Amino acid sequence: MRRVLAFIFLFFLYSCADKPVVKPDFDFTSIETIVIYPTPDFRSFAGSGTIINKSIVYQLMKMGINIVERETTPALIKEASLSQTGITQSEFDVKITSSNFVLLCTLTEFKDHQVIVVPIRTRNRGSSVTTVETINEPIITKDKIGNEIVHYETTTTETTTTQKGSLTERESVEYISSRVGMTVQLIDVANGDVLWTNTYWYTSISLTNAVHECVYGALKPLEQLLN
Amino acid sequence: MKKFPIRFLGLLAALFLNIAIAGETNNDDVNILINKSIMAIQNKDYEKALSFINQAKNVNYDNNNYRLTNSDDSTLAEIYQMEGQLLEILGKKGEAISAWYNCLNYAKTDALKKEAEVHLKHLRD
Repeated sequence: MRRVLAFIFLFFLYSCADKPVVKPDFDFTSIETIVIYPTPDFRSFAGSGTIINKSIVYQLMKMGINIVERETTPALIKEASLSQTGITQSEFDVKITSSNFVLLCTLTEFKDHQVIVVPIRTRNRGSSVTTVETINEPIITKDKIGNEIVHYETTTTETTTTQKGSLTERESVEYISSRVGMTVQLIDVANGDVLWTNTYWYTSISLTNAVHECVYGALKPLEQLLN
Repeated sequence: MKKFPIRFLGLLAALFLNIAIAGETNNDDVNILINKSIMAIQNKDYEKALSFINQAKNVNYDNNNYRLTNSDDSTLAEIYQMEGQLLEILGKKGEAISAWYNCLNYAKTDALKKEAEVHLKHLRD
């Protein structure tokens, strides 16, 4: 019974999750080369765009896709060492423009982990009440027969409440995980159509792992279309 | 005969007070272990961090897996969240799924519930 419930729960979980959007009736298996454009850095996190781009290249190459990286390849072409391969700048430009498919990425989140020390103050609101009772002198009266009756008159004279609150201070350490979020789009350069798009985010103890898993999660549905 | 209920009540009150103090001590122990785990994560010693988290989990349970104290569920959810992330980074996928499932069970905030769901889906795919 528990297994059945777990299966229903996971099915529900899967069906609720964000799914990529695909242009219908497009043959993704015809895609051989994808040009990766530079990803802008997330706000003030310098180098975040480059980190994501390198991870995208890694994941797509693992899928068996031929990759041209728009960001670094032109600079490499200019290097004298590449002239040995016989590729010229103009030939490289042709190579880029002849590839009809471009992958664009936008970072929606890019946060490294944080350790925060939170001071916790516990206030104990205790109080003590002091009651001072004054017993008057004994009053002696006589009844009809003549017996003496002694009685004391008790009166409450003063009540004092003293606040005895105490403040305890301690510190708690909180760990905020690394978090990476991204949106990816595969665009057909020939007509500007967006063929495929997906959005994904992931958290991890390490930023490297968050980047790797986020890119993997974002591009995995594309792998199923390309192969 | 009449004194019995009063004595009994006194005994109950003492027991309750004792449990309350024990619960507070356990919660302090949990916080210390979590702090130790965070320090180990800072040093990238994930195995050690996981051992502290496992200790923190066991503070609240006896040998028969019976919950001893009423430490709040949000702390337990955070413990399972850390356990899930540590197991993932250590490559223990199956155990990580179990930890995230527990995290989802105890999570009180929507953000943590969503995070657990994302991790569960990611790990099962």
